[in-house]
Parts: sequence; structure tokens; C-alpha cells
Amino acid sequence: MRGAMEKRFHSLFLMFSIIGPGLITVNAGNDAGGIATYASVGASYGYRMLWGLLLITFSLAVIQEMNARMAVVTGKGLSDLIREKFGVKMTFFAMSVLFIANFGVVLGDFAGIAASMELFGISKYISVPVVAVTIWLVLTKGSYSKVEKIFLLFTFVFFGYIISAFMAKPSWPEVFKSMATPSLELSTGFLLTFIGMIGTTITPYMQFYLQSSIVDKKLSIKDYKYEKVDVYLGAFWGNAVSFFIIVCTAATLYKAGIAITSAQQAAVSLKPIAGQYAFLLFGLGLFGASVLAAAIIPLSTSYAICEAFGWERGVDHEYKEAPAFFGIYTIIIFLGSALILIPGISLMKIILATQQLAGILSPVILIFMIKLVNDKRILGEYVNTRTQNIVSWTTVIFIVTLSIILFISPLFG
Amino acid sequence: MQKSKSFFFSKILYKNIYNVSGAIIGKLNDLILDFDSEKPVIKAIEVKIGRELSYISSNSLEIGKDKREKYRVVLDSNNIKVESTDENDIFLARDLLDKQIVDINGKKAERVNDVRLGKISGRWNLIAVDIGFRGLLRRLGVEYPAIRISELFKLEFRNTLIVWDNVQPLTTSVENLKLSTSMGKLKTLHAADIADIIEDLDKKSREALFQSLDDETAAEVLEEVETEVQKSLLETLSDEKASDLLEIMPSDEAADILEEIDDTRAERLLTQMEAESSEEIRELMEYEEKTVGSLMSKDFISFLPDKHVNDVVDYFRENKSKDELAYYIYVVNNKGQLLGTLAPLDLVASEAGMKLYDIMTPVPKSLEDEDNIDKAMEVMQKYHLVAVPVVNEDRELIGVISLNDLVHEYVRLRRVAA
Repeated sequence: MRGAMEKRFHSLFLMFSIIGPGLITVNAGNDAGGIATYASVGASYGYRMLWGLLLITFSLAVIQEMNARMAVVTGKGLSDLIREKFGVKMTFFAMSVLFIANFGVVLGDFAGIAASMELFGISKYISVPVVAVTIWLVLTKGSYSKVEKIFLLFTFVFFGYIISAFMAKPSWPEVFKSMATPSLELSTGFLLTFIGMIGTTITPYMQFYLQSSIVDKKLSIKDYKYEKVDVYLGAFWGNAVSFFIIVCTAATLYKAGIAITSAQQAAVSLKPIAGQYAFLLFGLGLFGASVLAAAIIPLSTSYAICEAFGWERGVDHEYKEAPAFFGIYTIIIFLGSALILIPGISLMKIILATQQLAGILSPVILIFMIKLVNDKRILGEYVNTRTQNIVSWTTVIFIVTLSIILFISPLFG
Repeated sequence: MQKSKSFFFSKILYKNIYNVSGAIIGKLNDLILDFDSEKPVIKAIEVKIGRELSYISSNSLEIGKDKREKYRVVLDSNNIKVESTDENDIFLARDLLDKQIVDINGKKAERVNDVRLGKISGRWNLIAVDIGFRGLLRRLGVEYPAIRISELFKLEFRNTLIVWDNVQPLTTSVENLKLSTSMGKLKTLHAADIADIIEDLDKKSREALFQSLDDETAAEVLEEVETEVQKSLLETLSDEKASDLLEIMPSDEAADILEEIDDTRAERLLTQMEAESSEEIRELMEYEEKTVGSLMSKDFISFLPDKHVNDVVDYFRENKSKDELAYYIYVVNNKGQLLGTLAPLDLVASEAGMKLYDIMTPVPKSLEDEDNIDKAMEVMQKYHLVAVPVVNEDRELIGVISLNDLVHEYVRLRRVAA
């Protein structure tokens, strides 16, 4: 009936229609917290953490593939699976951890909104309330999916870092050398920054968000090979951007001895490409990424918690039908934005600290995931392979060890 | 300590089991249910002794309750019988607690927060499942403190129980399909309600539930669910079953589905069908989107003008047809060209011996297959019609477009746009 050529186009089309969740998730992960953390990694420690970024890129790819596999095989979200395997008490624990981590990240994103608008001379007392109310209205009216793409466009600004990184003429041999030579410094500052880098890369919310978006696509196991491409591509592409942010800030700020304490300083690293427009470019990108995350994360937190406890959810419900669903994201948005309005707090510190919190909490969710993905009753023949288990357990142990060292090192300092 | 006649499962789960003299035997790890009787009965207890699991008959199980709502699980150890288990057994905590079920009354998928067990004529039965907030609090071990706090705010937490008669369990794991092999309870629901429930379920439960439906219901459900779910359900069906269902469906709906799926599969399904159905569907698939032809149904009832009223009435008595088909009866000449329409009421109101030609409405409003659906809407609105005949350029009657078809399309477009 139809030619082989057309069939090939069909499968190419199919691939593009499946690819998406992975790329969007990681891209949204490069939010205010991501940008600020990577920038401060480069600015404060030069190329010295690049080896860590390289390793967690593999971890991220393996972890997100686990989410994709669980989504396609079971057709259930991560909270659903946690609830069904671990019961109410453990689910309550997992959801509390998720809520705290996500609340932190949203706080960081509102700080990002405030910081980016301050670059344009707009006070946080105006920008934050206006954006919070707008986000809340857009989510509640259910028109979020239309707006999502606009803000996703904003984040393309950060691809400017890739060009900027080349124009800053970093010493590439040094870059590659540090990627291959692990070095760790047992100072609180170094450990915190390192954990922040992990936290912003393997954020707990991303696992829930990614798995749900893949479930929503209702893929069959036949299409799983395309979804795998999507998550791997997402992980590597997302972290490639992170890599260039670090290289770029290392080659500019670290060289000049500037540690990042404000958005202005972070913007300086875009000067090689944008010159005097660096602030404009950085401000727009930071704003877009922060708004995107400040909308996605409260919503996905609300979905995850309601899914776990079997409460009505979805923006197509009336408030009365789903009070918990509307309540949770409303609290996150308004409490998160209100805290940013406290006079005199350091926006940059909040952004970085919330990523570190997410990093410390991330192993909790990962352990739940690894337990699930190895359960034969749930995944049958699609349980983790040995290699996948080694990578994911190593990641967990590594983060836990770093956190423990972080907490006990002051005792010996 | 008094004997309890009924209690919540969470009150005894993971609690110590005592023998009659008060020594601890082990921990209650799970209960094994027998689903063969009308209400599920507890068959055996999974007891954790040290790190070992053993299975003990529940015959001598007694549940005691003290004044402070503390429960005590007692087994008569003189009477312990060890049971064997196999992988088909259904475990209460593992397979039902925290899982999704369908509430037949509420027509919705719900999550099981707790389970109510009760002693009926000497045996422990599963009486009801708890889907409410209070069940969650109980599982968290804060039921009474939370109630005391809520009383301060004049709030009341009630248990939300669904009696077992209204519970349809769903499959929960790769191997364990036994739970959902009998979907008997769903039979009382309308296909559109089943479709709503199916959309809410996860993939496994959805497939198991769908497979258990008879062909007629399955076809109706398939027609009602959203496109993505249609696709994923079709993928799990064998070619034979899929083409059977598509043949039962109205040809326009079948054509819509086939346009969405992979071309080679669609072609395979079409060749499996009887020539008549597949030809109808193929013709419908040729139409451009948003034309009347793409939405119209090929199923309609037509007669020659010299038929008598009683012949037509007899026809309806002998061939039970769907409501939608009988909005209007069409009168065509021997070339198949549309001459007139009749409403079923016209038949009732006319004498048995009259010819259709005498009672039909001649030169009815009609549409052409290449017309835009906006025109169909205009015609229906203007002339207050629930269905309009569709003719080709030679005025041959080739299909019918109904108000229902337009509503479906409208809802679909809105869903795509959202």
C-alpha cells in the first residue's frame, strides 16, 4: 500500500513524538538552582569538580532510565509504586522528604525570579508577588501546558554558555585533565558545593516528574527503545549545558578570583559572548528557567502526594472535589514566595543552600526507586541488571558518604 | 479483654501473635485469602517467626480487644495446622492493601487504605475496604490523636467503607492475575462508565479489565475511551480479537481508530474482517479530516418506497437494532438514491397497509460527503435534526451523520487543543 520510504519516515516521526519527557525534564532541571550552582562550582573551584559532573551524568542517565522503564512496564507513577510496595507509613516518609526537597527548590526558584528581576532594576517586593499570583492563576485555570513552551524557550538562552565557554578560551587540556582526575577537598565549602551540584542534577522531583510524563504518554514496551534514547539524550544534553556553564565561569570568574555572591557576578561570565548585554541575556534566561520550575515543581509535588494517598487530583477538577491537590501547590507557591520577601536575606545563598538540601535528601528517593526497580513482582523480566544496580547503589553510597563527612568534618576541624 | 467480632486489618498487621498461655509465637506478616467463596475468607496466616515465614491455618484465630482499642492476636497453639501456599494465593497486604480497586457504586477507581474483617458463622471474612482519610490516619498510627485534634475544630472524620459486594479488585502484579479474572461486578455498569474507570487505571489493570469484558461491551468501551487509551488497548489485543471488536463498532468509529494506529497493523486488521465491513471502513478512511464523510456512519436503515408500514414494523421486531440507527428510516429508490425520510413515530401513527411513499417526508435535508462538518452543524441547528442523511454526488444515500458524532468530534478537538 505505502512505500518503504514512508514507513521509515513513520518510525522517525514516532521517535520524535516519543522523545520529549526526558529532554524537557532535564532542561527544566537547569533552573535557577542549577544555573547558580554550576556557576558557583566553576567560579569557586575552577575545573576541579568536572570529574564529578562527568560521573553523575552517568548516574543520572541510569537513574532516569530506571524511571522510564518503570513507567513503560507498569504504567504507574513513582508515588503509586512506592505506596503499593511500601505501605502508608513509608509512603508518608517518602512524601515528606519529597515535599521538603521540592519546597526548597521552589524557594530557590523564587529567589531566582527575584534575583533576575533585580538585574533589570525591579524590586523583589514587586516581582515575586506578581509572578507568584500569575503562576497560581495559570496553574489553577489549567492553561499551564500552553505556557510551558514559552518558558522553555527562555531557557535556550543558556545555550549561550556553550559559545561563551569557547570564546572565553579556557585551557582545554586542563579541562580534560580535570575530568579524568578525581580530587576531593575535605572542607565544608567544597563538600557543600559538591553536594549542591549533585542535588541540582539528580533532583528528587525530576524522578517523579519524568516517570509521570512518560506514563501519560501511554507508551507500550515496543516503543521503549525510543524512550530510552530520549532519557539518555536528555541526561547527556542537559549535563553538557551544565558542563559549559562550569567551564565558562571557571575561565572567566575563577580566573579573576570572583566567587559568586550575586546574580550580577554570575552574569559576568556571559560577557565573552554578549558583552554589555550579558546582564540582559543572563537575566532573561534565569527568569525563564525559574518561572518554569516554580510552576512545574509545585504542580508535580501536588500530583505525586495526591497520587500516593489516592486523593483526587488534576487541574480539571473543581476546588471542592480536590482540595488537597489545590491546597498543596497553593501552599508551596505562596509560602515559598513569602519567605523570599523577608528583608535582607541573601538570594544567592538561598538558591545554593536549597540545592544542597535537595542533594542531601536525594538518596532517600533513590533507595525507594532501586528497591522498586529490582522487584520481580512489579517489573518481571525488566528488573535492573547488575551494572545498573552497581551504578545506582554507588551513587547512593557516594552521596550518603559525602553528607556524613560534611556533618562530621566540623567536629574534627 | 473481650473477643472482637470485626476489626480493621491494620490493627493486627505486623503485631505479635500470642498462644493461649500468653507466649509470643511470632509476628502476623500477612493473611492469605480464599477468593472462591462469595465473600473472601481468611484461609491462613503468614507468620514471621524470627526470620522465617510459616503459614498457619486460621481456624483457631481469635482477636481480642481491650478498653483502649488495643488488639491482641491469639492462636490456639494446640491446634496449629501448617498450610502450604502457592503463587496463585492472594495475600491481603501484598495484593489488596494500598492497591487500586473499582468502587462499583461510585463508578471510580479508589485506593485501599485499610480492610475491615469480620467473623461470620465462625469464619473470618473480608467485609469491606476503607478508602477514607481516617483509614490513612489509622495506618499512620495517629487515628485517635488526630480525631481529638479535629474535634477541637468541630470536624469529624468518618470511615469511608465500601462493602465487598461493591468492590471489584484489580490485578496487581505480573504473575497474579487471579484477582481480576472474574470482573463480574463490572457487568452492571454502563460502557461509558467502564471507559471512564479504564482511563484512570494503570496499564496492567486496564488490560486485565478490558480482556475480561465480553466482545459487545469491549467494543462499546473501546469506542468511548480517549484515543491514546484506544491505541494502547489495541496493541495488547491479538489481530483476531482486535478485528472482531472493530467489526462490532460503528464503521465510522472503527475508521477513526484505524487511522490512528500503525498502517501495517491497520491493513492486517482490515484484511481479517469480512469484506463488507472492511470496505465500508476503507471508504470512510479515504475522507479528509473535518469532512462530513469522515464522521458519518455507514450503518443506516433504508427501504424501497413501495414497502408497507407493517413490513417495516416487522423488520424492527425481528432485527433489534441500536437506538442510534433508528432516529430516522430512509426511503431510497432501486438505484439507492435518497427519496425521503421517516421518523419511527410516523410508523406507529400510520395504518399497517400504507406504503412508505405515502407517509415519508419527501426531499429531506441532506448533506454531501465532501461537505465541511460546520455545514452539518448548521443544518442540524437550523432544522432541529438529530441526524442528517449523507449522499454522494449522484444523490445515492451513503451514510448518516448524527448529532452524537458531532458532539464526539467537538469533545475530541477540545481535548487535543487543551
